[in-house]
Amino acid sequence: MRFRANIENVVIFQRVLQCVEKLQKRCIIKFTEEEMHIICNQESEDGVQVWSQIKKDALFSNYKIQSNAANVISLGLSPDALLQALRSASPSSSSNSSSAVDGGGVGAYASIGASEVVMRLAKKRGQAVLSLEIIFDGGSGNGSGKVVVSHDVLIDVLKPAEMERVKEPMCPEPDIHILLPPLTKLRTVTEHLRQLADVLEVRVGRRGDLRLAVDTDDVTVETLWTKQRRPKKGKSAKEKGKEKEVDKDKSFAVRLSVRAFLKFLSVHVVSSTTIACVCEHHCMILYVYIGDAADVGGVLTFYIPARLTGSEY
Amino acid sequence: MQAVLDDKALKPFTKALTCLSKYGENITIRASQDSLSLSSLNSSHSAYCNFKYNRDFFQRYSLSKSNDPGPSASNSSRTPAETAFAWSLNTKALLTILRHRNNDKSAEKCEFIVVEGQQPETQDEAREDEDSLESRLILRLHCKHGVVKTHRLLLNEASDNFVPIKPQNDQENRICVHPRTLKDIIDHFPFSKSAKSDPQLIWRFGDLEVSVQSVDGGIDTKGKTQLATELTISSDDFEEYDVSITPMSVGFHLREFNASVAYADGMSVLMELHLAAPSEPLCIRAATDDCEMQFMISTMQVRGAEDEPRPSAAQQAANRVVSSSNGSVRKRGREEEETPARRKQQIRKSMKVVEKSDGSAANGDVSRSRASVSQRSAASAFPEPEASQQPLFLASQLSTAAVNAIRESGLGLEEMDADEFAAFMDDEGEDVDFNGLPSPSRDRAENNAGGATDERMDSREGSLEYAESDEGRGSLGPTQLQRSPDDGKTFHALFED
Repeated sequence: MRFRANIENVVIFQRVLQCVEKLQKRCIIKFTEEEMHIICNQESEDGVQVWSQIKKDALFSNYKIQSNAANVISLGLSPDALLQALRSASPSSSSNSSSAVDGGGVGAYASIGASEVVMRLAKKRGQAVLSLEIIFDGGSGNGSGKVVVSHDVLIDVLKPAEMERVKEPMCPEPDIHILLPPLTKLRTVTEHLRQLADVLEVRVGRRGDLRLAVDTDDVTVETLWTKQRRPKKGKSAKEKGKEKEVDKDKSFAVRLSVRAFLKFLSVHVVSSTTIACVCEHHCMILYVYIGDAADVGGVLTFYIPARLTGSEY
Repeated sequence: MQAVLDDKALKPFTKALTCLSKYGENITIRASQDSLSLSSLNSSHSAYCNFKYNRDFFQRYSLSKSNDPGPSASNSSRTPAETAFAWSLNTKALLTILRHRNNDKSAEKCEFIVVEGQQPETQDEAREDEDSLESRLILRLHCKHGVVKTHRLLLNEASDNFVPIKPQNDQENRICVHPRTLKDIIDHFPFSKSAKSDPQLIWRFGDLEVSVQSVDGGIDTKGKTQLATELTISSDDFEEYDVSITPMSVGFHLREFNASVAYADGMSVLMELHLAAPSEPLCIRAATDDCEMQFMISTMQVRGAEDEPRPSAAQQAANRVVSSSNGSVRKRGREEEETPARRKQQIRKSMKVVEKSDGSAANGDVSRSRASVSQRSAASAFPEPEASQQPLFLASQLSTAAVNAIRESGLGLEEMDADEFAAFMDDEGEDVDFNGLPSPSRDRAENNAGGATDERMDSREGSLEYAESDEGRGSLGPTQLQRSPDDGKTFHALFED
């Protein structure tokens, strides 16, 4: 199997990996002929899963893939390692800080930027690695030599049989969809709510209102956004007919773990638009679009299961 | 000692202290007529750092001691040990004070006054020195609006007189580089920021390019390293690149190196890296108008199958000499280096970067006689001590009190070198009469040849009488040299049988 691509958009790639890195220590990346999928489906305490799909052209150029399994290559790797490798492609002056820093920054090389970043599947010292080669041309102002940095990220190549078992979680048809307000604002609110309780209730109403609430013995806090846009779905006529009969004031709620919601909200760096789908008392599915709404490069899908507290029924 | 720094000089001084604090916990201050030097050594003795400030760096600089007739007396008659002062002090204490000042930005002048505690009459500031038993460093910051902040810090006696091993050949393998380049190189290597991470890098110096590799890197989830990084940079990016033996690989820890790079970057001075051989410590030098910096970092030799350094023919010849005399060379408490003839793929620690001296090299300038050095190849980086000095324990752990006790015992121990001491302690049967001892320099020369004890004794002038130890011993003169006939440090047998 062979794989090689030039990474054009390092920043977006970094941001996506940052979200994933906050969730899990390992993730699966699946390269197909047209897309790159990033999958985080390890069972964690919060149960958050991420399934993302990014068109290859949004991130890469000169993309070449070849494998026996219908030109699909699946690897498991540590997103943090890959992220650190990418960081040196656009280093920031405080590149040593491990906090959430977005990829762009100033350093002697960033002003020139990497002239080329090549990602390749390789075998080094008997181990399969994803090798990133970053070439800086033109030197750092002192000399005229070019600098080549090469990072090798250890990977596990997954067999097609193993990939078969990796499937998106089963969810019923969502009850309601809504466009979320900017995730940064949601994040601020949720951070405050995190101090108060473990379970957060998200309630979406048909009129476009979004309500985040926390209800404990000591305190009840609720935050309401109104007039949120609801995405127009191109559904079949049957669905449309159904909608008309439905009560406009109805709202659907789902209870989530606050921590899980916060983990999802860490994707605020990359999102332009986010659509939330609520399956009442079951789960919440969030579609985060990368890039402009018009020219969507990819989507990150978050599955957050509901926390059943027994008081819904 | 009294020194005054104006605010322009205080900033670089504080930066230097920050760098020193990364190297070790204590700094040793050595003051002489011409310069003030600050040095620090890390706990494992694998990194050494020295800043030497010319007296012009200070607005005012004066050195006086109560039994010192004055700066006008000729210093040439004195050994440096007598005019130099040495104290040691906790770096963090000094740094906290000065760094705090940086936040204020209001200090206009900073006075350093050292008050020696031993003498009953102290200098001008006697009335403020209530505690006369210890030396104190008085730091007086004159700030704006007439505010004067006075800090009193405890000074200890400089416990060890560590001095860096001077590299054999200064000109070999010299690389001048702007610290910004080095900083950029290191930035590319991702390191975890946990306190226990101790990053290391392996540098390979080739003919036209330098490659830097990480040893272990990245996050370790399954006990395996997840990320390996390698950077290649052309030698054009270095200001000067003069490496004679290529390819040469060295590895070293980054913590101290980063501190030096950060300092040099802040001061915008070029850094000169010297590496005589992969087994020798890395020596970094930098200099501004008033200050000379020297950093020594011990290196790990990385020998791989791919790159076998090709030493020059002269060095190979020297290697052969060493391997033959290695067996009989005394161990002086240092690590013995394997000869290059026995190369294996391994990473080995190089020699320690410092060794003890007894104060003859107070300010870090070690001028040592090179007579014996030629006998050792570059593989062993410890030159023999000067002919006139005869330290007893080179890597001594003796405190000052212990040294004084030994001196007072009158056994003449401090005049012996290791072999004589061994003879003194262990040898039973040799009752020798040392009349008319040969000159010390000749002793030294004989020692250098690595001859056995017996040979040396035989070649001495005077008759040697061997007697049974059981029959009692007469009084013997000192085994090494007699400084003056009056000293007459005789010793008597411990056990009268």
